[in-house]
Amino acid sequence: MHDLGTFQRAFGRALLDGSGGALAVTIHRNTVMKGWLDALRANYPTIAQLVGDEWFDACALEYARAHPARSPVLALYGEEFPAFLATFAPAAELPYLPDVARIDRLWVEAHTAADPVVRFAWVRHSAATIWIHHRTGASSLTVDDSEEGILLTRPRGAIEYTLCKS
Amino acid sequence: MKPTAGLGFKPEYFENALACPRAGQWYEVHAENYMVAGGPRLAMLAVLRDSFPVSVHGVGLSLAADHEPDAEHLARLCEVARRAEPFLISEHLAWSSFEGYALPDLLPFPRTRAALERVADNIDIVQNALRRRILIENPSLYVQLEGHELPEHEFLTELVTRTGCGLLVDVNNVYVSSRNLGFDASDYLAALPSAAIGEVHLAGHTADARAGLLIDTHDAAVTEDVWRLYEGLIERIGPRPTLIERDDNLPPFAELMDERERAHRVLCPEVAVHA
Repeated sequence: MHDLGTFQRAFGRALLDGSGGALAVTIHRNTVMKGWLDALRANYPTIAQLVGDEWFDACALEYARAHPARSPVLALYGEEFPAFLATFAPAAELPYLPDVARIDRLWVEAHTAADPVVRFAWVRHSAATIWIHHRTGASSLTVDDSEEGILLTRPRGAIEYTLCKS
Repeated sequence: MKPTAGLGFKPEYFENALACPRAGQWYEVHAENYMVAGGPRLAMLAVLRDSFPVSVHGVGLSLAADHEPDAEHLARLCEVARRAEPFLISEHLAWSSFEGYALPDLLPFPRTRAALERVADNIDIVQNALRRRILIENPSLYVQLEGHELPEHEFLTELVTRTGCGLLVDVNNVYVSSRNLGFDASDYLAALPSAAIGEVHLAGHTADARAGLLIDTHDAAVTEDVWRLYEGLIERIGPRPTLIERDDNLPPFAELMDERERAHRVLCPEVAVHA
């Protein structure tokens, strides 16, 4: 009756699938979802900045439900988030979002990889220009919806990036 | 090491942490935050390790799961331990994994004799891999589950006896659980095997008025009730390395140092603490 594995499968399923349930389940579900949302916000800061907290949280919650973490290392959580954004209906009006997310992901990889670090992405919709604009906080932003490349390196501890225009 | 008071380390506090006066200060890092292949996180850990004693606190081993600890995750913990050269390593009496998922929480389970066997085996596996003793932390509980065969203090005592592990007593967790489940926190603390207690955690909690429960949120200052329990514990068992934990709603570093100094005065009442 109180077999550990049976208990944990039922409890875990109630956390991931349900919405209501007993108080204990609700408290733990909130903790689980907050852990994943905080990790996604930390790993995709440019997306959070672009869409605002409310939009980001709603989107991140859907992602977390569809892609529960498979590793306790939350510094790397959200690998499929850029692909998820490409299929997320409310993001359809923001065509640059998935590619900006790809660059955020590239930054996480560059931040946590062993030396030497070189990461490159070819993106559409001026996503690299938009990403750099938000990372540097520059005041003016000119986008022409073009294809661009972005190169991330980590030569001396900090990550450096280079914009490549076609 | 002389049992002194330390602080939970956050990258946001890196500059303050390094500039902190050295006497007795130590830091605790969450193991999972340093399970990466390279880069600034590991560089930060190396600087911290070279400057202060460091303890490693894991949250992802899922020792109370119905399976052995994930071999890859355990290897990553061994690697963090190799890098951090910690004076203590700790984990939780909880589970967080099922069907291949890793839930970022510390979940409760019915404390059966079968579960005791499983957790003891898992602690053995971890201690053998690390080639050292670990400390096991008592959980925060919210609702009474059915099917317990052992009270928590007895379950922990059995783990100490069977595996040689030590205990990390989180006084805030004891307080939160005692209020939520309705038991006496002092009685609980008195029932633990005091010689096995290798570290103490102190943190703040939040009252959820709607649920009528205290939640272990680590987002506020340590409360007076928890300080009183802590003072009673240390008076009875003697000084133990004590950590001020704050994981959310991070205050200015000086506020945490004030709490750290208060714990220090409990541990070393005869020594005047410099400002």
